Amino acid sequence: MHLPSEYRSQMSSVIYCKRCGNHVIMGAMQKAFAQQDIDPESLVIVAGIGCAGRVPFYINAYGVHTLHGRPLPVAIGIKTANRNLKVVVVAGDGDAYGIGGGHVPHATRKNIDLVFVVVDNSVYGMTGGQTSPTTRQGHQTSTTIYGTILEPVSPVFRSLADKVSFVARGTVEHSAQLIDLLQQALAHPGFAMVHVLSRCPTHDKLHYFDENAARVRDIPPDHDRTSLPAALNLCLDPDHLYTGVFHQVLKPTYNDRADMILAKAKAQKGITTVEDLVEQYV
Amino acid sequence: MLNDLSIKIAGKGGDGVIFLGDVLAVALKRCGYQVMLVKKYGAAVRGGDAACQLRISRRPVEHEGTSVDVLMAFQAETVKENLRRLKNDGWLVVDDQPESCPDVSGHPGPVCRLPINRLTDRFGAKANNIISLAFLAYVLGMDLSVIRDAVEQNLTKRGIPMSNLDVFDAALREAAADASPAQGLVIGRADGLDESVLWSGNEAVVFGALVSKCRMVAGYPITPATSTLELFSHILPRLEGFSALVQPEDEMAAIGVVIGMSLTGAKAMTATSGPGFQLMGELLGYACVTETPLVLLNVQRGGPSTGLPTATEQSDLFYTIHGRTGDSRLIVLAPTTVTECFYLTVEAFNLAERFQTPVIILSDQYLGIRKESVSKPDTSSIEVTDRVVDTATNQRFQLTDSGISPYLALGHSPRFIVTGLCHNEEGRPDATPENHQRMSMKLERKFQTLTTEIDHRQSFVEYRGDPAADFGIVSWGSSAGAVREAVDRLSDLGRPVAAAFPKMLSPLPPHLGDFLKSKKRILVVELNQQGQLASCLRDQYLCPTLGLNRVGESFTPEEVMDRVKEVD
Repeated sequence: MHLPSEYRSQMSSVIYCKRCGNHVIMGAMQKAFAQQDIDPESLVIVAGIGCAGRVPFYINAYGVHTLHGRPLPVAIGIKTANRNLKVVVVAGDGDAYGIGGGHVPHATRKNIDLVFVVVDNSVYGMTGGQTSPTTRQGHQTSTTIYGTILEPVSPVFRSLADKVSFVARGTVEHSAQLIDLLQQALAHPGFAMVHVLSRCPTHDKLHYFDENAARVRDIPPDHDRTSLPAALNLCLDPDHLYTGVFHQVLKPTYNDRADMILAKAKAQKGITTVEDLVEQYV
Repeated sequence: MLNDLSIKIAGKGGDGVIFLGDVLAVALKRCGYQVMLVKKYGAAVRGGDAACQLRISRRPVEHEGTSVDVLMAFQAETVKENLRRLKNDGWLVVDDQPESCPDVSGHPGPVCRLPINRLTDRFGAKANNIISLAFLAYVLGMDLSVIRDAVEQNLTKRGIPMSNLDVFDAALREAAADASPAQGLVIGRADGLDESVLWSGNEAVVFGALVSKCRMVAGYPITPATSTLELFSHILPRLEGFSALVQPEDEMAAIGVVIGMSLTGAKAMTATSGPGFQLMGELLGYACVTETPLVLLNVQRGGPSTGLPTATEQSDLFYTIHGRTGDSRLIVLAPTTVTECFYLTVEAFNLAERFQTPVIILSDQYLGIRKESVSKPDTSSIEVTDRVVDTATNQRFQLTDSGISPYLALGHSPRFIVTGLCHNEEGRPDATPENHQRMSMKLERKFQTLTTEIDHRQSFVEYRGDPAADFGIVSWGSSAGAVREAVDRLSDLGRPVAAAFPKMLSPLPPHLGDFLKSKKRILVVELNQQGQLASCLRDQYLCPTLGLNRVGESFTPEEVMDRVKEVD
């Protein structure tokens, strides 16, 4: 058994603001790792850029701090090349639905076996509070002084539309639930998306997070998580922001399917060697 | 038997021009010739112009040939367009229907009119290519059993019914009754001296990667680099053990996947062309500063922007060397022949491993798509540098005299951090000016180590011609072919020149400077308008240069010779 503290790195000092949601998220991750008995020697945290992007510096595991929006492609490379590694991707709302938005549907349809934690604080925090893909319409930010004109992206809705095999939402106000969701995500074989409603105490001056928090409800216990229409209904409820597991189904992962192709090719055409190919290929 | 012959086959999509070229090239290679096969496509796959040019010789073929000895053309307009390239005494092979061939009374050489269309009417429209091939082989006077074997092999490879072989035999009988072999063109029989394989530049890179034990590939399709991914897709799953080929959503993702693969300790590569290469620039800079080994093939095409996807050009050099932010250096290799595409790919992987850096193979469309005879490589004698993963330290970016640090891999070494932020020896962010200076100098030292080694071995530059000549030519990539032939012909004409072909363009080998300083004039031949290599040479070696620059299509030896005469 591992203790949560074993996943805490002392090597870099944490730069997050007081009351930043990332404190809660990192704590929840460490507890979930411990409870799932994840070997720190086989754990890789891959992240993008921004406040959430710095998580790998504070977790005692392998850490890959990639570029803005690019953690998923790098994580896919890691997981296809070494499937013994447990890969957890941490992305901000800008990473996941702004600059890196094009990668998400292609990573999810691979059903590659990793956990995708979207830290959604509705704002670009590290650069000083600019509008982000999940900022609510009308809100004032430092680049939308007279209000944001765009409708926000819904991470859960998009994930359901892409039939992601595990879709959950938690918030930094409910850390016990968040630990549980992260544990389920870690145990899920396939792409596990966890949308975390987070707080930016520095730049969310209009208390968007607190407004949202008032709408948060637990997903009812009788929800059938294998039913995509039921999950969509919960997600589209105009009055409530549900937290819990929206959807979970089991299907072959990318690596399962890649193995089938490797076996099929060998069965159909026979095993060959590089030496033979170099001799004979014309 | 002939010593040197050029054949051009010109038509429209659907005439089977590429099929004719492929089969003829294989058969002529088996007849003991060195072969170069250049395929030219219109931008559209069907309905556009398609042409093949084949040159065979007893000596290594450096260039496809400016004018041709045999022209086979299927339409009145393709005859007209290509006739100017036919030598005066060259053979024109056309259909015997008047609408398929214009008035060619102006052509002083022999004209061979064949009943291709009439026979196609009898055997069905899809048989046209096989009928044309039978006639052409007969007219060329080839060993018919060799060409028949080549047809059979081609049909097998493409999964096409063998009934087509009966059509081939029937067409040969018609040819024997109807045509006669062109006098003086009898190309001869297989002499059993076939020690070569026929590869395109892109195929050669794939085999180089496989010999280097690369089993991890990611790439996004783009003309003219796509055939590398297609070949990997055929081969990788059939190899013993584990392999992965990922085709992600775009080029940014492609190089991201390659970086991820490499971080686990696996050799990995990608292949792309101009616009795709540009998209990779962002993560390529990340690979430079995180010192992640990888190999990237850029098959250059016409630019800027979307440019000319099916044309060749050498205009990505500036972008390849400089196209990243900050002081990020990498290694750029430039093969000049298909054979070098193979061996320089092995070098690329070895350098990437040794110096923990991205290595770019800067090929081009002309080199990547054409097929060439390559002496069968002895794979057992090729030295391959394996990745050595350090299991004792977490100092991934440890400062050393050589600039080369211990290599760590995810899942195999003590835990470590990788970031594109300025980092310390452990890989952790460190924004102090002192640390930034230290780490910048470390990266620079790696390249000094490399440069010293190249100079010591006098490697990565090929010298040709008369070393004592005071006129020097420098060329790179596929343009070197036309220059080699020009240098040889100028020498035969009593006008000796010296030539240098650098195969590493960044960093540039210091010993190239000795060559440049020993010449009164330097002509730099490259297929771009700005004189991109010339600019790098002037910058590094402080030498004045003259240029032969244009774009559009590859150079001919005659152009190079004319330019030498003009400026000398």
